[in-house]
Amino acid sequence: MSCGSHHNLPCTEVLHAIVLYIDHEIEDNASVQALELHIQECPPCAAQTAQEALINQQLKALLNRSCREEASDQLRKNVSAMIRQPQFEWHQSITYTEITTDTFIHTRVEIHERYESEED
Amino acid sequence: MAVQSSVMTPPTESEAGSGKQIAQRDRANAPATASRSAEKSAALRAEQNARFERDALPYLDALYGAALRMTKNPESAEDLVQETFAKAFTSFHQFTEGTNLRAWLYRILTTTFINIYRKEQRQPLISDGEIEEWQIAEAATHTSDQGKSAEVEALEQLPDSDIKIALHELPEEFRLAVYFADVEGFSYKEVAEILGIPPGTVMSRLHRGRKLLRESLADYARERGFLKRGEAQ
Repeated sequence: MSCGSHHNLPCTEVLHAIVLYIDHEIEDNASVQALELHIQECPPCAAQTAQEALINQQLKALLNRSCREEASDQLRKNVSAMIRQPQFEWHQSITYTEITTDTFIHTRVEIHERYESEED
Repeated sequence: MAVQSSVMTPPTESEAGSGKQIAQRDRANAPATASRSAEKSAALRAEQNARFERDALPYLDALYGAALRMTKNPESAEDLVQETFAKAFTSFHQFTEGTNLRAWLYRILTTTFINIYRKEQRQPLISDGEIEEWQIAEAATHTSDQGKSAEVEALEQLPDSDIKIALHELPEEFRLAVYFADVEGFSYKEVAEILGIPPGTVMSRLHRGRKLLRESLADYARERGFLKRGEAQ
């Protein structure tokens, strides 16, 4: 569990934080410094950090190597055509409704928004 | 009771959705304001469309890649990407310029996927409670090499097809966390926003997902004879 020597930061805490450290997810500078100091002084934690970093990096590299995709020309054409459609417009209409009773006058305002083709 | 209605068309962008402001305006001036606003609105829209084409369209390949990892088949992935771009395009006026467009697009992709495709093939989801239990069970101890270097070498030889299959076999919540963090390079916080889950949940899904994926890759490496049985178990 422990490497035997005495650190300010226990090994268990370091080991829990290793992945976060490798992923650059520890925002607090003081915590990063404490962690790095411990790793420098503690060979087992240093070895573990190096191994985790290597494994992590390899997984990322393998995924990036095999998971990059290219959209088909047809998909590109479809999406571009959709964006360039000039009749694809934003419509807004506002309805004022005045309701008058014996005791009050109330105006109700309704806003209708929609996107639609003018050809519809 | 007297009911009287009038209808007018586009005011400026800034007034959109602000009912109060419009109601308080002098209604006698409304038609003139509306026609000026209509021109302004059309110009704004043209500018916005151009900006969308310039800024969002370059993410087409990346979004398609993510969609393929979600749906696992090219046809559905293309539908999903088209739907995503249509939604992003029509709600682009809600996007704040200067904020993270890439994350915004992935968020739309993910919600669209969840709304459309997951309804069709409801798969049992592992509760986050179970993930937490797993985390607690995972003891923090120093581990020796345990054949890890042999595993690293073996995994390097795997064909891309094995890696894709292994990723597809991961349960969806793990697969998406791993994909967004390790392929797209999003931070935990960004992944949390994209998936609509707390950052702590991203952390546990990502860590467990990586571990499961690695174990699965090691199995494929063993099947291909790149790794001896019993190594890196």
